[in-house]
Amino acid sequence: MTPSPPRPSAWSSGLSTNDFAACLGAGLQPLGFVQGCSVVSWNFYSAQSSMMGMGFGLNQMRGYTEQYSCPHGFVSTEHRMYGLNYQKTWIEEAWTETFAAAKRRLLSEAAALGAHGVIDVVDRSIHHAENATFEIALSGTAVAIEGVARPEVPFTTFLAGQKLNKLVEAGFAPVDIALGITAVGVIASCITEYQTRGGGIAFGGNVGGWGGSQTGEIEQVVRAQGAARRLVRERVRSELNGDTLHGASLSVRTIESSEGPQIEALIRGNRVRSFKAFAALAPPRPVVQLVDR
Amino acid sequence: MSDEMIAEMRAAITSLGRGPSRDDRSVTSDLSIDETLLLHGMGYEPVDLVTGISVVAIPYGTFIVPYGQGSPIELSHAKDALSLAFRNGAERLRKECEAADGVGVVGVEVEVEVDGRSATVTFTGTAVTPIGHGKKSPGRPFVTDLSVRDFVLLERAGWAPIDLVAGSGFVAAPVQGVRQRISQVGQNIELPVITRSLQIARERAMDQMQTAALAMHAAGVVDVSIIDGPLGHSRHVCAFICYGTAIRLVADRHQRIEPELMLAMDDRIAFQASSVH
Repeated sequence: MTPSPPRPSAWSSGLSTNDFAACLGAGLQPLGFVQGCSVVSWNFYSAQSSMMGMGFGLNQMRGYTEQYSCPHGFVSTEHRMYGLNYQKTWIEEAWTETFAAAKRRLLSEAAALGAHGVIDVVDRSIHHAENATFEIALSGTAVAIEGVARPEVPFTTFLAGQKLNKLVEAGFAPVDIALGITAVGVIASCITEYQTRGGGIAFGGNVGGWGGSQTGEIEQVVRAQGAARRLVRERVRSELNGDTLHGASLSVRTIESSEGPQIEALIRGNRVRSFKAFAALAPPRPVVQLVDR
Repeated sequence: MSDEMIAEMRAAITSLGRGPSRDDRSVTSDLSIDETLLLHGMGYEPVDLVTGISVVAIPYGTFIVPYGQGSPIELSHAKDALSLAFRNGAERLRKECEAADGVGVVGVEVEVEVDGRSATVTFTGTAVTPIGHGKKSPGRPFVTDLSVRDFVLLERAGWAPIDLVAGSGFVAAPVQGVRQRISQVGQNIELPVITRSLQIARERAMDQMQTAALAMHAAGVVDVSIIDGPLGHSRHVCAFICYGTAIRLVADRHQRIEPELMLAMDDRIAFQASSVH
């Protein structure tokens, strides 16, 4: 994809008036509104379908896996003989490649404008046509500053305006937007199945029960949820190389599939680098703001 | 245009050519730059983004109430499940904090979900440590859902957070009979059984939270959050869930904070570029 050549007209930007003013105050000149996107075919497939369809089994799975054996022995053909938590590395790879392609295009447009960086980046992920295709779109405002050699790769940041200025004043340089995803699938063991769908019976809480009460942790689900959160943080941390992930947000969602739940954890934040000693602020003065309402 | 700010920005962008200092330990945090600066001003720094989660099974039938029951029914299984989930989730958060050499976790975001079969509690926050602190954290890390601003104010007033404490109450209001429903047609009257159910749920939850605070020798609980109302999947069940930060006085006495009055002189912004997107 070839970036559009810069036009000799007025620049455009996605900055608010406040952010624009703060941006000029720090010597950053907006050059143009830049975008990058990538659309991929998004086929959901599970461990079982990949075992049959692509010819690899549990031993070929990469990343995190945990097996849960049935303690009961053979009960019936419908009884689950095993349970499995497994990392869906193929989903992570597809997402990561799509994100990288979108970012490459964004940076390519910024570089064509002669930018030092892209600020106020907004990321969107969209499922098209009933989840068959998936798009990651990035947009932001390319900026340049006089008197500084252009970096090999323009920096990117979700920040703009006063927030960006405060970051720099605090001694941190914006490096990159950091996003990472992890997907963990859960094939429930018989115990997990029992805890989540069947199990002990207790009418009205204290009206007696059939089979006793089973108020216990659902270990397999807890470990899968914990693994999704741990893996996504490790993924982003492994790319920091001593830098700091600032203002991170971690969102987790659970998608129900025929095989069982799929836990997706997404982390996003600003990768920043310390360029001077952190100057401690004087203790802030408490104030009460007088406002009409 | 501030020349100092421009010089800072130039220095920041120039530094990108030098590459990262690989000797530094990578830090992750969900704090904003304001919060980081504020924390730093109080002698703390973030070390890691930490999480804790627990999912506890609720026995089938817990939310089913036998027809004809005349008085509210406390659903102890649901209460026990949520208590266990809260306790285990917080413990996992604390372990992650210890592993990151943090002395406590601030700004903890608490998510509570109770569906028909399970109770889930999730914690996400940033582990912090005093600047220049050694590797080992002294004692049990504190956990608080206070924002950094509130944490700083609390410390300045001579108090310290100890831990998150929680309580819950689940009470099923009896199903009304046909005769009772007919007797209420066309009348705006109080429904005493449902009112009583809500009251019981609230009392049980607050009692549990206060008992937990007393057990850790706290002077009180601040910033209490409340989740209440009928459960989505069982509308006849009144739920009341509360959690907050247990605190204790660490100074000799409460330090009075005298805020200054501030009158903002800026006008409201009538137009923003984002409105023309």
